Amino acid sequence: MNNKLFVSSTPHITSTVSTMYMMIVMALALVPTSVFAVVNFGIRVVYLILIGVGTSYALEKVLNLLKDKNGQWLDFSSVVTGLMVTLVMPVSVPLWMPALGSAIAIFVFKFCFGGLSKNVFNPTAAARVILSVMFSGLNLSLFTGTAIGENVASPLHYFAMGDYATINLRSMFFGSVPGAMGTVAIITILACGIILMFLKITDFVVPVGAVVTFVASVWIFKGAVGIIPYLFAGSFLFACVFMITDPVTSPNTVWGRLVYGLLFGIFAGLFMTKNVMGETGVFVAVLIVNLIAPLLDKIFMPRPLGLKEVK
Amino acid sequence: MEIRGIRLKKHKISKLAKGFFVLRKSENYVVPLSVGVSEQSERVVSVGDKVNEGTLLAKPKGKYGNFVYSPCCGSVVGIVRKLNINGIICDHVIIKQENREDKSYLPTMDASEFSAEKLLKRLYESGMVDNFPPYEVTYKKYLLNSSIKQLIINCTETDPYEYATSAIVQTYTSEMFEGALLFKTLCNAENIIFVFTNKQAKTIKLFKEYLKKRGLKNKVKIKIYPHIYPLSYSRLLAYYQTGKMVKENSRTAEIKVIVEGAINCYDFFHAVYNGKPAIERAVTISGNNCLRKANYFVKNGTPINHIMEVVGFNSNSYENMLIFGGIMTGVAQETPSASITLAANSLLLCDSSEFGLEKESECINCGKCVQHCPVRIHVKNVDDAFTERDFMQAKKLGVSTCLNCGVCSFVCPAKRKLAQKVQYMKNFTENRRAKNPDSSDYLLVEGEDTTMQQDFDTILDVKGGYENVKETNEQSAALEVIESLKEKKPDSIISEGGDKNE
Ligand code: SF4
Ligand code: SF4
Repeated sequence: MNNKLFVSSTPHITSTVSTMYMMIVMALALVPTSVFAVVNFGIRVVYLILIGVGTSYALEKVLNLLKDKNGQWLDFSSVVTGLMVTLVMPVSVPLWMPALGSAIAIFVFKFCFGGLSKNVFNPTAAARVILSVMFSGLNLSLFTGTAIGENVASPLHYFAMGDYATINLRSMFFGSVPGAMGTVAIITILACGIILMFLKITDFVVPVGAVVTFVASVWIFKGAVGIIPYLFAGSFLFACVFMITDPVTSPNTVWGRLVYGLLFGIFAGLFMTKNVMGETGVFVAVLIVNLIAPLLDKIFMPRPLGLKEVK
Repeated sequence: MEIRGIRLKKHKISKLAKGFFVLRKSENYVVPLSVGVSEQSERVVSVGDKVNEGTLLAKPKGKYGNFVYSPCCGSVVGIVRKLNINGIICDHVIIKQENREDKSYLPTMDASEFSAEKLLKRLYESGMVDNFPPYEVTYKKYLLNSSIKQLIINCTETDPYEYATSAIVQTYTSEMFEGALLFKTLCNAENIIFVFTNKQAKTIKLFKEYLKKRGLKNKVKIKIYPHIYPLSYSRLLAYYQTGKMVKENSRTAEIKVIVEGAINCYDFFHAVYNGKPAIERAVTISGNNCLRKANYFVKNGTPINHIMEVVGFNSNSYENMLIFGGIMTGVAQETPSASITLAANSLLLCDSSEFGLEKESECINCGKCVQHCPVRIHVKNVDDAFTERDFMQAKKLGVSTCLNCGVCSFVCPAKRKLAQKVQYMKNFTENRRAKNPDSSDYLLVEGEDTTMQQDFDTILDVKGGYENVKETNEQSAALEVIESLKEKKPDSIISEGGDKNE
């Protein structure tokens, strides 16, 4: 027993929610969606996911080694990124596509911005937008197919022409429509979203705000009949649940987050109803609100209670 | 009004005995002459003096000092200078306990004497100290220059492991209530309100039954808040009650509110009706490896060694950690040769591995710290300012309003030591202000902060966040005296400190 007086400051306990825990839950929340994708699109999905996740995990480890930051913690955030990058692609993409997407996400949009938590853009959305710009020639066939070589128009294509009858809402709900692998099965996305909010991994302010303004803008541009089809089409709900709730790129305060969500809904609604960039429109909307986030942080800076004016 | 904070589960202390126990007398008492954060008082006894329970040991020197009384009958065998548990260096009087029952209390007061001035005088003389942050002498709150609208009796307990307040309200309801009324007379408050949290159902029930018996059922106001952690802080309670926040560094009296703890009410009752000065406190003593967990009345200056022995804490097999004042608000240290002060309402004896802090990782910008801070500090930005040692920025961000409640550190998923850093920045800006009160510019002169920076960096590394308060030679000498006290006969101890001339 030593006689030194050690005094430590408060607190002596911390909550059980750690970064690692959050990332693991996030990865687990993507599992049902991935399983649904395998059911709907076949075994090829498994290969694509393995390639995407493998690349992003390996790349992150290598880059961390270079930066001499290895061993800080088991990096689940790269797993989440790899998984998401893969899931926002259609099943018809060539096998190297998830690898390239993950590499862009991890290297350009995470590492080059300074690593975890320094990135301005959501890596997944950014990588997706870059890919669709790079391969714009392939765009239609690339991003709407259900199997290799098949060219099927996505629901958005029909909706743009005011045709709500061809695509069955029920099949949209269970994900058996053409589209990106992970984003079409609305039922799993909604379920996972609710679980994530319940576990307080993500908050409900951002997604709810987004849905409200999204519905409003669809109503304005397409009328009430378009609301449900547009809500279920494309990657809007996926982005709501997994992308704009990303802690790193969203604002810090509750009011900031609310405005952030509202803005996202407006942009997403606008881009989707006006068919700007097709399926990619949602991800462009994510990038735009990512850019606005620091500004929202400034505007909604909390004012400490009881602070005297600094002379 | 939005109540921010965290919902902490009350820790279920198994077999926490009901009611109160009086701790068996210790052989020696080491009474600090500075309690809480108050400045040291002037000693009026010297080595060899015989003292009774309640004999004056020291009287205030400065403006906000306090009276210190002997907790037991015995003789003064030494004076040492060391750190008290609040981390302040001060003289301690060592008293060897003798088996006598003599009491030299203050004169008792009659109901006819209850005027504001007389009660304030008694409060001053009794040497009472708040056992909640900022641990100041109690009478300081009542130095008023405005009328008081509301007297809030704080019966809440939101820190896990703290039970003493509830136990006082349950066991000594009438004493507590009368004491509260005395405080009301003292500050001439327009109304009095008792606040609880919704986890204290039993306490509230007993209190209501008491009021019913007295026929005061609808005359006394009770307010029940949700059980959210930093609610018990005086400034926050005043804010939730009035909607106005006290400015930094000022007292709640400024917004015509006084917040008083329930344990203080109980102690003040005895100070007035029995003339008993502040010599003991209701303290919850618990911990996973304690055999006799309970609420105890613990005398000022009781050595921790003695407490460990009495409650049956096996101190050999563990690296001990002692936490005074709750797991969220308290101070932790590892020195069993320290002694308890009046500014404690719980003592948690535990193994230091039980509550170690985890390693920091990169901030993920989740904003949890910002959303949970009860006084709305942008904690994440303070963290950044800390990294850059930008004290001006930290001041602008309002570090001086921090309560040191620890909520930000608690919620951070990256386990960043946020509360510690905010506190560091706060202390730094305030110390500079103390040194140079006219200056409003806290920007650093180049190179000036290097020593503090180094100090703090080592602090962060040592044992997961423990601040290693360096000992001076003087202090280690003092500690040796206490160590030897256990083995040798107390008579052979030569007094230390300023006593050499006597
Ligand atoms: S900054 Fe201070 S007041 Fe705010 S949560 Fe942290 S410790 Fe509490
Ligand atoms: S809670 Fe921790 S991780 Fe989240 S913003 Fe604050 S410092 Fe960063």
